[in-house]
Amino acid sequence: MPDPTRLLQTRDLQTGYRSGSKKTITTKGPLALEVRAGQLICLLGPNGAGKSTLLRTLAGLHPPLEGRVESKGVDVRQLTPTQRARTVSLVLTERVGTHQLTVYSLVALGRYPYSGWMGGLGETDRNAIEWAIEAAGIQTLRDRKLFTLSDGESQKVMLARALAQDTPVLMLDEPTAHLDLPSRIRLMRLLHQLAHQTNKGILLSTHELELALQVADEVWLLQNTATFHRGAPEDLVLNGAFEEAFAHEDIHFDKLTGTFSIQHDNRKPVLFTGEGLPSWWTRRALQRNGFFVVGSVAAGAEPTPRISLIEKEGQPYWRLESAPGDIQEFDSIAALLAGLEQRLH
Amino acid sequence: MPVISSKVRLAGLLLLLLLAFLLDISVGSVKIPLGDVFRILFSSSSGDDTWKFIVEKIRLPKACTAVLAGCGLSVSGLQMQTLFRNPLADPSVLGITAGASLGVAMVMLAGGSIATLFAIRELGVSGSLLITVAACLGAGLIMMVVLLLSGRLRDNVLMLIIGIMIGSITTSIISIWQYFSAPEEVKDYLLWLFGSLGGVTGGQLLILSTVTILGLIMAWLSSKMLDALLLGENYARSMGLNPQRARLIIICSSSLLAGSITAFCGPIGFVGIAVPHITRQLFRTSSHRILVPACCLIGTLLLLLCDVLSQLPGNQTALPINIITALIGSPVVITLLLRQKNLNAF
Repeated sequence: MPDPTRLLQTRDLQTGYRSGSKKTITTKGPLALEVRAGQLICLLGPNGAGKSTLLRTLAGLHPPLEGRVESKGVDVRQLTPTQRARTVSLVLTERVGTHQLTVYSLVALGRYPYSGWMGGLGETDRNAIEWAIEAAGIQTLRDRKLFTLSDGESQKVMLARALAQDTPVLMLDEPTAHLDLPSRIRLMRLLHQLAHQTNKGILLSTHELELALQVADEVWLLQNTATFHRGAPEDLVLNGAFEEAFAHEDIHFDKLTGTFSIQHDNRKPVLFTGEGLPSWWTRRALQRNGFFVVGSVAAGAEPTPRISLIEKEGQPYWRLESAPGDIQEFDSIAALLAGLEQRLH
Repeated sequence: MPVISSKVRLAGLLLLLLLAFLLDISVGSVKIPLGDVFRILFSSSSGDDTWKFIVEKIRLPKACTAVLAGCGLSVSGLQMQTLFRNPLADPSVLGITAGASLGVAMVMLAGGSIATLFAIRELGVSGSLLITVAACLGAGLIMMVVLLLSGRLRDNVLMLIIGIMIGSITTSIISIWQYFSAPEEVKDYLLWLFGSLGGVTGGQLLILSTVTILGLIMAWLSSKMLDALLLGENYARSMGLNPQRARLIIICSSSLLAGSITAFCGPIGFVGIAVPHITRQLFRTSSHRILVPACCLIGTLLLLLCDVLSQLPGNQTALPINIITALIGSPVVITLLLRQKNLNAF
């Protein structure tokens, strides 16, 4: 008896391309993956790691090299195109903004696997379209022509089209590319809500690691052909999988904040104590300026500048002790950085 | 509401089309008063026998051919533009037009063989059944090649390039033939290239209308697929479209339309590429359920008007239809495109 919450499942999957007798493996596996109802999965990985191929394979549009992808116990490659289109809907990276098509007609195209053979829409279809337009929050765009939309609007319209397709699984290939930061956050939050409210399984590939850490129920980390990690995002942070996947000489992954920072050569240690929001931003500023922030110094180590965050009349102040007895106070991070620069050179 | 206004526009076009049809029947090298044309058309009482002959055997079939060719070429052009997502595509991109030309060239330039020359002289250039059969065979041959290849290819752009290549090969074969042929034979062939709506009568008209209507029905039924293809092949596949089958149906219908019309009327250019653009501009929609019939109406209207114009200059001689379609149509398209700011919105 197949588990009804398990929407998509792979067995010994290996993805790649076959041309003639030559095989190009993109994900070696063998992968045992599953997409569950109500789950938002983020597929992360460096460029060229095979994210798109994996998505296309899971969607049944591309044949796997080995193994199979199953939906309710049936190989997705064995489904008819219509059955497959009723199982997985896709939002792709390609833009389709150059048409006389209106937003409404585009969303209506999502009903393709259900509409009559001339494309006629019934009551159910129209309701599904209305719901999709509302869910994606594009009510104000419904009569606009596609080519007049911005990137962010366009992405939401494509999402609405996929929602109108009314499939248990929704896959998005880099939906946040080309979007500005607020749009990226809004889209991710929307997808997170959709997964939980509609009980769909949503799988998206993205480069937005920090956003993914905040919204993903599960992360699939495609490091390279041979290495694949999956798990709760927090577990992957703790076991060092993230650090390993994106490891680079001059990039540093901060496990504490879940962010990447540019690694500077010859980093100097500073001792920093402080709490709350100003503390977080002070750390960021220090890291950006090539300091290595530590919480304590072992006895006998070489002298380290000490910075402590204090509060005066509700305002944050920074106290810098560059050498024993040499104490200065600053009222902004910029002033602190300037002071540090002056003292240490 | 867009749906209602589309219907109103379609109805308006239909009315214009009827007028153009009547106009086309009433002008020609022999002056027949409009009243007599109506009498001949709508009552059996015979007036002047010559007039009756001209209207029933020449002008009516010619106007009918214009209707069929206008519908077929425009819809075929629309299908090609959507299938290949290329605003420059037209019925000739698959090499089907070139295939028909090959058939004709084979007959006309067949090394001065007495039998063929005799056949051409006897029947008149455009009326020759032999030529139309040869053109149909040529178009059919290329269509088979294209269909066979389309089953093996996954990509529409590759299909487009291969179609153009096949067209080039066919055209160069014709050129070789022309190079080694006598000037008179080449002239006959060139005349056919000018295109003509006349000379398709009786049984030929029946064949042409059967094939064209079949192709149009297939095109109309494929409008849902064409809509999906607007988003590109990947999206179309994700929505449950079988790309190979869709391509087969679309190419098949397009080949029937373009092949048969080229065979009977010669390679009429321009209509196939221009009418879809005019239609999209006028109807401001991408829905093929509307575009297919709208293309039929506009294509027919355009071709009928071009035919009327081709009759006007000399009174005695009519200009070849191909000259008029490009001469009149191009400025229309340029004007429409200039009015539209976003040229990408095809």
